[in-house]
Formats: sequence, structure tokens, C-alpha cells
Amino acid sequence: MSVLASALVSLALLAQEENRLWFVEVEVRGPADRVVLDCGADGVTRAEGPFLAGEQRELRLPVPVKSPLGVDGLDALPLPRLEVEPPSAGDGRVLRWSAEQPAERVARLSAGLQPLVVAPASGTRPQAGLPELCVVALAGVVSWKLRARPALSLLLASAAAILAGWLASRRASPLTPVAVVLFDATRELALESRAARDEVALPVEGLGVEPPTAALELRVDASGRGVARSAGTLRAWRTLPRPSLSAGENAWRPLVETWVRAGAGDWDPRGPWPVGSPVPDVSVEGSDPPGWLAAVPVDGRGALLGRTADGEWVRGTGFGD
Amino acid sequence: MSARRFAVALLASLAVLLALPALRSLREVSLTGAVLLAQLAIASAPRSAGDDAWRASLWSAGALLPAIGLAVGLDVARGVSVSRTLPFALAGWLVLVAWSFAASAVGSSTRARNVFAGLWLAALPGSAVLWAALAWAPRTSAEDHAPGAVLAGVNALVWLQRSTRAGGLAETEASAGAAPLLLALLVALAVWLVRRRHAARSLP
Repeated sequence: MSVLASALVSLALLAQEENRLWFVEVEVRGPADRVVLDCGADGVTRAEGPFLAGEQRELRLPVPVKSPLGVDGLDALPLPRLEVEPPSAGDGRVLRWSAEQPAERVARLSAGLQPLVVAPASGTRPQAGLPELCVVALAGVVSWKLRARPALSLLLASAAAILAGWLASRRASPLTPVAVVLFDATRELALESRAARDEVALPVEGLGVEPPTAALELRVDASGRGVARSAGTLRAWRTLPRPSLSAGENAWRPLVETWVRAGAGDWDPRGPWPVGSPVPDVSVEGSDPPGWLAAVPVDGRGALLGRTADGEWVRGTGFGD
Repeated sequence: MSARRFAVALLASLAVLLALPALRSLREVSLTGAVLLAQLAIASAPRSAGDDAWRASLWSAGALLPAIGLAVGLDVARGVSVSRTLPFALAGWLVLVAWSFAASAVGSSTRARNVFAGLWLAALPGSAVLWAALAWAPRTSAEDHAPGAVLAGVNALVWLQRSTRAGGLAETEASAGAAPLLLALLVALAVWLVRRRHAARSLP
């Protein structure tokens, strides 16, 4: 029953996205340049060495596997396959799934921060650009001219297909990295979600990718620092100390826009809120907060929305209570 | 493949590549599957006269390759893995070659053309419509497999349509294209045999 409950929490709470950052413990015997953890279609982890001859180390490394049942489903998953590079040198093995999984902490914290919002990603998808469209059109004309010589036509068309595919695969829709910090005045920790295209810096505590079928590549050093890369949109999660924002004082960062909601009321724009001062108590003319962030349950508690000069958003519940 | 049909297939491919990512409701559609679907629907249709079958089919399927390559590249840019997309695209292209060959193999034989038209109707649009109709029919038992599952397994249009759904490319196995490919080859063989027999009878 506890397994089911935990799995449901993991499924429901990690921002409607499956976490793709779980940790395994591995043993490596040098010499080796790097360790590769192959997770099949889910992706791969490359841990850079060097691992010296005679050296034997136990490492805790992230792997991008999917675990539909969350942390409690890990034991049912096959351990990733480990290879050392170069293969003729040292060796290693995956010992076990780590007992401590940071994603579990993220899932527990997010339980108290409903509704969970994620940093918005661009609504557009990669589209064909002019160069690859020209390649296709030109190849069509050339193929038509060469219809008496189908073998040559096929050869040229294959080359054009590879070129067009390569050009298209490098397309990425523009996405400005956006971060959202969610906190509750009664909790010590806040949750930060950050969206980015192509890669995010590690370490983080949770990682989602859109589309969920996208493969992930984690490149880390022995300490777990590095980057996560994917052709999709990445969303990274981490916990951090609750921002020092109370009605009496902003001891966090200057906010260029602020909205306050008292109990069951509407969002009230209060304008900029500099550091060291109480929250402005006079309403100003301003725009409404973004809809994706403003949906906070009306439960009689106060709430705060703000935006920093860097474009980072913050949402607090229990604000001013 | 005639100039008109080739132009239509190429323009349809480009229209799919340009329009689908721009439409909010269809932006998750797999472009590789959608392009192959459009090309197969156009290239396989019965035609009035055929050229040298192999040369014609090889040329027509080859000439449509760049559009498929572009679709594969865009799907990869959207996050679908290359190891999923490429085998699927290759399997789809082979099905396209086989059906294109079958359509070209009729030559000038009226009987072969009629046989191909009947087999094409049954194997592609007819069975696809039947599969869709059965999928919508009320179910009277709790059997695991939906009625028409066999049709879905051998129909190239249904196989490609399944891959076009959001996330469908990641779930569709390239090996599932073996049955549609085999069916296309059987149709091509049947048409070729009818054409040969007809040609032998026509000799003085």
C-alpha cells in the first residue's frame, strides 16, 4: 500500500512529467578514460575520468532511465549496462540503485505546493527552414531531369535526403530559459523549476523532458557535475531555501512586478518591490499576472506572485497570513 | 510515375512538412509517418499506363527520398531518437517502393491493371476503411484484440497512420512494417504474373 501511495505521489507530483534522473552506485577499476552507463532508448550517462591504473572507486552517478512507478519502481528495473572506455583497459559494474534519490525529495516537497506549475516552454516546434526546403525542391527538379537514369537519380536523392535531414535535425525552436520558484510560507524549502532547450547544468534533483520519449545524454564528472542534453525541452527541478519574502520585508531579491491576493480576493497589482522594504500596500495600474502562474487555489490563504529583473518568477502561498 | 503525380506527391510532402508543425492541434504528429502516408496514398494509386516497372518504381521512390529525409530530421530535432526514426523511415520507404513497383508493373495490360486496381482497393483504402469502421463498431465482448486487428497489421496505411500519432513513432516498431511490405510484394508478384500471362497470350 505504501508502495502504491509513494508511486502515486511520484507520478502525480513531479510536474506531470516523468523524472528522468535517478542515481546508481557503480564500482570502477582503472585504468579507464570514462565510464558509460547505457540505458537503452532512454539515453546514456558518460562519466569522465580519468581512472588511474590500480584505482578502484565507488561512484554515485545519475542515469536517465524512466521509472513509471517512481522511486519504488526502481528495483523492478534492470540496472543500466556499464562499459569502460577504452574497453581493453579497466572494468566496472553497477552495484545497485542508490538508497537516496533526490527526486523523492522533490516529489514530497511538491505535494505541498499544489497546483504545481512548471516553467513554460515555447509552444512552437522545430520547423523546416529555407535551406532544407531548397534542398528538397532542387533534388526534385534534378530527379525529374534524371528520370531516364534511375540509379544516378537515386544516388543523388539519397545524398539530398541525408543533407536535408541533417540540416533539419539541427533546428530548434527558440526558447528563452524561464525559471519559477514556488514556496509556501509554512515550509522551509522552496522548489525551483527551470526550462531550457538542449541542455541544463547538473547537478539538479529532478529532470523532465518533453517529449517524454526523447533520449537524454548525461555528461558528468566523478562528482556528478556536468550537463544533461536532449533534443527536447528539458525541465530541471531543485530544492532551495525558502525565499525571504514576507509582508514586512523583502530580504530576497528585487521584484520588478508584484501581485498580492488576500484570501479569496482577486490578484492585486502592487508594482515593484525593492529589497529591504515592506510589500507595497497601494494598488497600481498594471497588467494581470500570467494565467499559467495565477491559478492558486482559493483556500482563504494569502498568495504572492512576483517577477525579478532576470525574468524569474516566484509564487508564494500563505503569504501575509 | 507521371510528372503530374510526382509533382503532386512532392507538393503533398512539402505541405505536410510545412503545415503540420504550424497547426496547434497537429504539431505533435510524427512528420516521418505523415509524409510517408501522403506519398504512399499518391504513389500507389492505380495508373493508366506503366513504364519499365523497376526503373519507374526505383526512380519515383528515390525522388521522394529527400522529403522523407527532411521529415526524419525534423522528428529527430523534436526529440525522437534516430534509432527509432531511421529504421521506421527505411521500412516505410521499402513499402513505398514495393507499392510503386506494383503500380508500375501493370504495363499496358488491361487485365493486369484491373487486377492491380482490385488488389489495391482491397489492400489499402478498402481494408483501411473497414478497419476504421470496425474500430468504431460497438463491442459485444471483452476480447483483448479489437476487431480488425489483422487488417491493421497488414495495411500499410493503417501502420503509417498509427505512427503519426503523438508519440506514435516511439511506440511503432519498424518490424511491424514487414507484413505490409510482404503484402505489397505479393500484390506486385500477382500483377506481374497476370501481365506476363496476358503478354504470352497476345503473341501471334
